[in-house]
Amino acid sequence: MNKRKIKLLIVDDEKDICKFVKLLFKKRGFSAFSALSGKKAISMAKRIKPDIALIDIYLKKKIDGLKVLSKFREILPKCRCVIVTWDNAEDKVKKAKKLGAVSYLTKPLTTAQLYKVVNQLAQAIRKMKG
Amino acid sequence: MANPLPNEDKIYEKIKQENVKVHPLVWELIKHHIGNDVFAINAIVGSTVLDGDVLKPEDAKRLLNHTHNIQDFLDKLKKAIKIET
Repeated sequence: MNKRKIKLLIVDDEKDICKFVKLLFKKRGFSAFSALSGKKAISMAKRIKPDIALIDIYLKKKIDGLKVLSKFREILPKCRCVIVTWDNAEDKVKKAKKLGAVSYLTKPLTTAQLYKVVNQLAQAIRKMKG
Repeated sequence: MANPLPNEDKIYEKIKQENVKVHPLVWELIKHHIGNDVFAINAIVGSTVLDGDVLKPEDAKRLLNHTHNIQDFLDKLKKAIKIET
């Protein structure tokens, strides 16, 4: 089995969500990072090359989560992007899926629900990399 | 969840039967504020207490802040839609 840690990037403008979701995954063997803005997320992604990204749609500054998703698909086509947002409007879900999101989760959700989705993706990545 | 009201099931039934709607703008605010604060609370508890760790006082304060945010939001909403309480 590939021992390299799965790299996870959390993109959310809520500090506590970033801090504690990062903690949750670090404790479960992931290499976790976080970014509070779209701009920071893009520069960080270029550097760390995450395997999985959790992206909120509504970010306080100029670049929203859908733009981040679009940019990630362009620069990191192998990165599995999961949208985590309160907004479950059909048009948003459709747009995110069209842009390449592998999953769309609606806040609030439990850490168990979030971990289940991320862990399934991580297992698929490990399997693929042999 | 709070203890259900004695007539809560009847209230849900009435909402269903009378097709009571929440205005989309109000619903959007509820989903945004409650969604983020409740998820933050879940993240704090799920990554500490549920893993068997002791909650640090500063993290307990963060939990309280999120419950206060929910309270502030509900107060603002009540004012905006002029609910008599």
